[in-house]
Amino acid sequence: MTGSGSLGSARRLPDFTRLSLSGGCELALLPRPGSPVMTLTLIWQGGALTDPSGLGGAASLTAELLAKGTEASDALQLASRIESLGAQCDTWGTRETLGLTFAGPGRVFDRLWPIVREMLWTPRFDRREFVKTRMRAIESIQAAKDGDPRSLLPPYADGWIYGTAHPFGHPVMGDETSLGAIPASLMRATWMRHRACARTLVSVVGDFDPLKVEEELRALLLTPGGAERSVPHAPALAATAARPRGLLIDRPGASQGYFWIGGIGVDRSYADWVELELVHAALGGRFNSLINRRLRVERGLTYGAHSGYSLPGFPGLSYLTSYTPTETTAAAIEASLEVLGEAHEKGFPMADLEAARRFLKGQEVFRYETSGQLAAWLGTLLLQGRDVGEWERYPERLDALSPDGARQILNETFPAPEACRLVVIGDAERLLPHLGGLGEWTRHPMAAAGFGPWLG
Amino acid sequence: MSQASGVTAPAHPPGLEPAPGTVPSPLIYRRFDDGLETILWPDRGNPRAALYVVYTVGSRLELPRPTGLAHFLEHMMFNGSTGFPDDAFDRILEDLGGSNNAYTSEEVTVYQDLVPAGAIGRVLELEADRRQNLLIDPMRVERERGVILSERHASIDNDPVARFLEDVQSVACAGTSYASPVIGWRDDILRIDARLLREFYAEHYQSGRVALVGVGGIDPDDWHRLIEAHWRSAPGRVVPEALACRGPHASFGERRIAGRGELVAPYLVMGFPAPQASDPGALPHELLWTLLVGGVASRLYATLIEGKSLALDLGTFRVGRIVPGRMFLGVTVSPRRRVATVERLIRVELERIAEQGPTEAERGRVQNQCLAAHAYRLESVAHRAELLGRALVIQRDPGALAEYPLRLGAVTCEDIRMAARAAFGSGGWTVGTLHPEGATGSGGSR
Repeated sequence: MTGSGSLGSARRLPDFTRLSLSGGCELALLPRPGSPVMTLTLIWQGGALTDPSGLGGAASLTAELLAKGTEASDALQLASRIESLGAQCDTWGTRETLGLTFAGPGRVFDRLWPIVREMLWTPRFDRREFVKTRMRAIESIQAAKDGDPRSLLPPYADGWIYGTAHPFGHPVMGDETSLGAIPASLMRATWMRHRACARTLVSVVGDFDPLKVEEELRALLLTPGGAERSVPHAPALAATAARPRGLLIDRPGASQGYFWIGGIGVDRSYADWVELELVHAALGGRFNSLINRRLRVERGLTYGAHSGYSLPGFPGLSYLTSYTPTETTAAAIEASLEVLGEAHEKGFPMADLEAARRFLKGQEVFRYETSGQLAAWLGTLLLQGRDVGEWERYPERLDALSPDGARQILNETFPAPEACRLVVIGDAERLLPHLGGLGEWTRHPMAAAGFGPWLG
Repeated sequence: MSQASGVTAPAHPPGLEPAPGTVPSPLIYRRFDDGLETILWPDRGNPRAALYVVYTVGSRLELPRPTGLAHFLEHMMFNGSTGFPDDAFDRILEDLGGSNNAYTSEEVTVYQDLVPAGAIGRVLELEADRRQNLLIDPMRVERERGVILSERHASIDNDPVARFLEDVQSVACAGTSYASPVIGWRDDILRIDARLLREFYAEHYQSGRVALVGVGGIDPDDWHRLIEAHWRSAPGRVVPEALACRGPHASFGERRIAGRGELVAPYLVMGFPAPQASDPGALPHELLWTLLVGGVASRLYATLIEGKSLALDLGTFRVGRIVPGRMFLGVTVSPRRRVATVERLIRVELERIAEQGPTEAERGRVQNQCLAAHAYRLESVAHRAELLGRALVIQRDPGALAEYPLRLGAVTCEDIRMAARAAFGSGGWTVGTLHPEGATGSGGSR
């Protein structure tokens, strides 16, 4: 297999063609001669943002049902037709999108295109499949609450920061109650609304003939006019100042406290997005980051600690997260707040910034390695509306960031320690005596339906 | 002094040609007199390189010392050697623009380094130094113990299914060195000390148990020169094969274990005999399990999830590959359903496949699925290194990777039926059921 794009001394981004179809479709085509694998990604803007109030999870469930049969094939027949080709189809809903990815050997796409067309234009939305899929989604959430708590911090944090009534505060997958309230009829309506969306984003990666694929896509996505054409937006946030600082999710018997520290950051229009990546690589985005070093390497408190952020169309969250045995949870939270406080006030030591810079520059070649990675990269590029020219200056921009610039970016994008909210999952009885010094806490049982107390 | 040989790729049968570029040809293999093995898959112009250092050292070598020793040592490998003290390994690697990780299983410990291609020399140097000159500082052992306990809490102690699976493995593999969890029992993690770690390191981290696997933009001449410079300057020694480590014994009939836990969804796990990776039956066995659980159209997925809504999720995991081992099927049962119903339906499906084998259409589907999955994995240097390491160390057949499409195409329906008879027809099963606290009878709740 040939290496794609040779970065490094002669850095060159993967070559792709970008074009627009009438009706608001944007395409990115990236041919990779010789690649055995082809990936087609279709993204519609909307997602959980379009979930009606109290019916969280509708878009996510709609996406799942797209794979549950067409007029010509029931769910099993459809799966069998795709899998027999050695291909696979993933459907997903996110906060702001609904999407499908098809991956398979390039040579089977001739037989895959008609299946894609059926799924988009004649989905079955069978009532029995709806009832089954919805029940499985509800029971899977119940089962997840018994398992490893790490994956459950994000939905609790979303609710605690945005308020469960806000479209960014309810879980994308919905919860036990909201899923149960969704009517079957909402599936088709949700899909029609997405399909008519003002922006459909498509990427294709693999060994293909661009002219032929463009033609297939034109036929596939040709939409009749007159439908609803808008991209949904999140409403403003209700005031949250009156809430206690911490949310403690009680799971009796848990031997560790799993914690999340953060608040509202910035949206995708944030101009210094390259520099923000560097700031997080230094703060919590790699093994030698400040937070992992303080908690794991220096003190042996945890298996791992990291920081993160997202850049959606509405301001996303910035956070630090880790877990440690119950006895040391409060100390680990305090140590994390200390690290954040030091970076807020003094910025990053030059050596750390340099090390993070070298790490990101070296890792860049691993971003564009597989078809799946390239498809994801193109999807982000299209969704964020960025020009590829911005990526061309990536290394120069990393080089140009000074310690003071890094501090400023952290200040702009991550609340100061005293303004951060806290979410902890663990044994409340054993944790509470130690957590008092960190502020007021609201206690909520994990066994309760949903992800935290209702907050309007 | 050393034997060198090229492993060449075979021709491919019509209809199953992999697309260009997927065949590792030729692979450059060498075995030195101290037992060190090296294998390179060069890929000119690739700006990436993967170095996987595979130690044939796993938890099965721990007895009679405390469990968890091999995994603890894996953690200590990031805590300083004489040439690169403290956390220099991680710092230097990230400075090179690289990333790294490691894992330990019952049979191997694998150190995974991913770097821009130009940095391969420095990585070979770092890896050689910690193979030869690891410092095991008692202070750092204490700190690392906290990290490992936190890892154990996160991955096992706070997940009732994971806790139950430890019990199931100890029952399924009773009396063998495969019976204990790789991370170790909590009490054992507490008593491991620097002395035990040093002994284990000195005994097992010898070049006779090391395979260096390189993939990506690495020049073959550079590769050999760097290995001579860093790995051959202080050769280790050949170590005896781990003959004492047998896989799980064939047992009479079935072993059953039932438990109760704080959970909503009951869990069912069934373990079956599985051939060792070097057995000719291993590939039909892989196709058999793809046919049972690989994808929505697979038999068990279609029956249990898509058809009857009895289960929320299902998956498999494997214990023992170098030796004949066990394949485990795990099923998260719907809280509204009974475990017994699910177990009965699975038994019907297993009996059916063992008696009748697959249809031609099914065989074609799973072959296409496996071939496509193979192509996806070969896209990244990391996966290529992982697969090449397994082929060399676990399968003892580095050519298996290149021949995979050919061998896959040769598997018949009858081969798959025979694999099913071997797995399901001759006892040696282990069945574990985990029920919600307070549920009645042997079934689920509600």
